[in-house]
Amino acid sequence: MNHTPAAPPPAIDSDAHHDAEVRIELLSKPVYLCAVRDFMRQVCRRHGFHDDQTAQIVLAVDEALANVMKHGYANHADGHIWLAISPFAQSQRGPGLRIVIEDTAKQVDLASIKSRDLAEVRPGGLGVHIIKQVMDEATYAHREGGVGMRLTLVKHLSSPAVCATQGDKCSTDMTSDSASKNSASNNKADNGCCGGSHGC
Amino acid sequence: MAADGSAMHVALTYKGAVAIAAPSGDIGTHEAPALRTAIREALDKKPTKIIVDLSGVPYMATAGLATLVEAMNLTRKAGSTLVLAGMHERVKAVFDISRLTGLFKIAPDIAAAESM
Repeated sequence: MNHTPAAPPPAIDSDAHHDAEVRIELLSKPVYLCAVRDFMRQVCRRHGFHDDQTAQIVLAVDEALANVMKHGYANHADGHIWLAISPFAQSQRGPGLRIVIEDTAKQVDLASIKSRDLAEVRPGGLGVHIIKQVMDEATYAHREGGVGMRLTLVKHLSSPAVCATQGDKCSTDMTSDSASKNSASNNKADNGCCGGSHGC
Repeated sequence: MAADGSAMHVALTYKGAVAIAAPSGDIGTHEAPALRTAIREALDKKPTKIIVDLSGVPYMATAGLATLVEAMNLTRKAGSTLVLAGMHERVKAVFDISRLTGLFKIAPDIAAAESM
């Protein structure tokens, strides 16, 4: 097994969770992904995201959870995954949604979490690329205590949903993302989905 | 709902030497294996062409893309052709982001796919 079942769930008062309005815990069983997708669609719509943005958030969360199940828990069905959703009103780019996904799977080298070369025509390995393309921020970190990973996703209401319909105009250079000791993030510039150094 | 708990169903029909696989419902990690099984079943009949009718698929995750890339490789190896038809805009967007759009023969509908 790749995880420690005894590892604690996220603390309610932790930085990642204290402002969460919704928390979901699920086991690493892909059969539940459709329910999470439906749930996320409703949450996004209720918070004012338009349909294209909603589709992108749903896709990112679905891919992130699938990655935890497949790579983190190596398809074992008894791993725990926590999803915390925090709407926020105040930020430089206005209101949005923060989604934190945590697990108790083995911790991986943060620098190794990157999208693969899209020139390679082969199945698999696209999830991280898509997550980074469609979300404003996607930050991987190690959970405290030496067990488990945390992925923090952010999407602003002001984000144009340009990548989904203009994918051929978006940069695919994801390898230049800086990876600090404790986190690897893909925080995009304020001017849109693929802004700043990603050259959309 | 399928017996495996998947909300996705794949209808397989044959028009002469052309096989048409028509999944309906989301294709995510849980549902992709059913599509893979259906396409392999269609290939067993040695069709000259396999059309995957995606008009009933409102959502596709990368597991679905991976299945279709694998299907394309299998059909090529078998001397057959794979055509994707009736793709929703949001599903096409996932192909675009993944840079896979140019890899496939894509038709607006079944009739167009049959004539390709």
